[in-house]
Amino acid sequence: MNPQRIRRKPKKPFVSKPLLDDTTSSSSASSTQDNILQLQATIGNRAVQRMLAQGQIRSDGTLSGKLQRGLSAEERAQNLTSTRFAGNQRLQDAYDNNPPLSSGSGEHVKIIQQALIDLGYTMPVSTSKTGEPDGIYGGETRKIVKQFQTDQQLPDKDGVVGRQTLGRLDEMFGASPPESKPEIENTKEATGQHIVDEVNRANTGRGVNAGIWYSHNYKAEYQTNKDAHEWNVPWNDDLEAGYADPRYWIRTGHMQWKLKPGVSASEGIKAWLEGLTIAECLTAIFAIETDTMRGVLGDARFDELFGSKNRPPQEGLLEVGVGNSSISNFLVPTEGNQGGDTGTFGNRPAELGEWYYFYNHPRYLLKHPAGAFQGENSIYMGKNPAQEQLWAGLGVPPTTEKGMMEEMAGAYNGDRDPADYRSILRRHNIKIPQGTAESDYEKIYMANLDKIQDKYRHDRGEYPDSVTPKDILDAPEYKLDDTTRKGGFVATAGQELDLAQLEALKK
Amino acid sequence: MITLHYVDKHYERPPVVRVEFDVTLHNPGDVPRWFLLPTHAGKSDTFRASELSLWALTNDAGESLKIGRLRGTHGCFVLLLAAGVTITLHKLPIRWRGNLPEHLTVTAYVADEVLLDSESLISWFEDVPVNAHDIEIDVQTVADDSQVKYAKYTPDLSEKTLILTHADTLTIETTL
Repeated sequence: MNPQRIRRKPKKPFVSKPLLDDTTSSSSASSTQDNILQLQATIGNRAVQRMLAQGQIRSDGTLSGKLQRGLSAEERAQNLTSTRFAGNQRLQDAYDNNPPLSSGSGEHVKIIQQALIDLGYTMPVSTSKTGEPDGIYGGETRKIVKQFQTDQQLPDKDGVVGRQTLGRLDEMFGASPPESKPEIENTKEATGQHIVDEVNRANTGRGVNAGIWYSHNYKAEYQTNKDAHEWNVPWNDDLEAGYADPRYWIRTGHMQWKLKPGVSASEGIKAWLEGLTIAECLTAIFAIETDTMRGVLGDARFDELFGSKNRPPQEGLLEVGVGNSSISNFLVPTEGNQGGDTGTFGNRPAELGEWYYFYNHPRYLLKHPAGAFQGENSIYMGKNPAQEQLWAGLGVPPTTEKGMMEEMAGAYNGDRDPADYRSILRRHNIKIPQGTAESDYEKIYMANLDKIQDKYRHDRGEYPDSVTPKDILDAPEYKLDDTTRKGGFVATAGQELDLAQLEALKK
Repeated sequence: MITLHYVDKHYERPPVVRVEFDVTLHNPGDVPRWFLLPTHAGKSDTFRASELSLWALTNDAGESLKIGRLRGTHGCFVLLLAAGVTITLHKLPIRWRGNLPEHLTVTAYVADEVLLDSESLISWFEDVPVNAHDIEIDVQTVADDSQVKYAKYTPDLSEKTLILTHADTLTIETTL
């Protein structure tokens, strides 16, 4: 006998025998009509009508969770197993739907609240007085329970804690974490190679339902692809702010994601890199660095730190994005960054997999204020057979430093696009009438030329109309919006994973 | 002398799209000639470069081909075809900046001699034999620099205009 089992008083079920619990509702043979007829035969038509009206019976004729009290003897014999819940009699009762929790207060509510908080849900109202859960089953608790039920894809999303919800929580907090199996040796060579491999993979097309896309490219393909109607994720303008697998990720801002509570962080970061993901170069590299950390630690340990199906995350739920990425806490300056030696053109003090930055022409943002290619987050990819150093980023396949500069010169020399004109107009508080076609932004710019600062005007010579790679390197530094830029390699941007910190975390 | 057929496209850093073509080059003359195809379509007709990169590729039959690329703000792929030779290049990448049109015009050249920085292009290859013979080969790897076998730069990386002699200009329209 389970030593944790607690003797309980005999319970009187709400109905005399199990009616239509989740087991029966999942049976393909049970139609909605059959379910309703069975209920009517058991408890009478009037009762069924009342319960339908009150939402106590689902539209398919099965009982909602709060009414699933008719547990079999075998089910009643099952008790909570996790140490977190098993010692509380009221929670044991709720587990048997006798009755489930939907209101009230007490230590049992506090335990539920703390479990949800540990899984990563925030409950500011319930913790506002002391920082600890208040033990009151109020509106916020009900809302977070509903969210948990939704995230866990439980049949009922009613905010009530009964058999299903408590059972899932017990399962999550009761299971022992599996042994962690690192995939990547914690050495500079192995981690660097993994980063290089992932950058190459990110630049390999994997079809329209997978891979990492720039929003511009996804939109362009969607608008021209004859099979676009069959895509898993149809284009809409909201995707300009990014997209990642919603089974794992909540988008919390522009190109910013947070892992959902109660899902595996290792599965989440793999899904992010597998796609479909719509992101940009900085976030992609954050994700690749994050995945490298996962590989060094092993999935189970990574999940313990950043999000798990069965444990509260020790380091908080995993975040990836332009504003905040969990991995930032595990990056350190490279030797090339610290040493103050920038090397020479084509011969930088970089090692495999290290992360640096290249600036475009210092005045790039005057010509292209939307900043689509003001620089490139670049990974050092090693050397080619000609012994040239190679660099790559999202959408930039391995190229030499000269090649990188040419990509940037090409971007500089392109015409201003609608996003550039929109940025200029906004900077100068010039209103774009609603419904204006993007192709007409340039006309609005021209019509308001006298209101535009000289430095952004195409006819004032404040920025060169076209540049060569050499021009980018030779141009003097230029300060704009409190940032001073000098074209080319930025040694002080050098970052790499802190392997010593990762080693400590493995234990 | 040159035919291009669209095969595929790959999106890169916006708004760049890499378009792959199957290309057939034929030298009907009785002397070796240089074939020049742009690395980027839609730019000016004057090639400018500051670097030569070379790939040495081998097909499944063990036959080899050398492809050069003159790199600059308007660069080109260069191949030297022996007299009477026909070669087929699968998946040659040509980049395009912007939304892809339905039809893409590629301007290519065939010339007896090419000068870069006042030197014959053959001297840029030094002792590498580049005279191509009949071959059919996948050239997709020239899309990036990871397999470049040899590279040579102009002094100070300054870009120089290519000088072509006895050149034929070929304007090829392709449907994407």
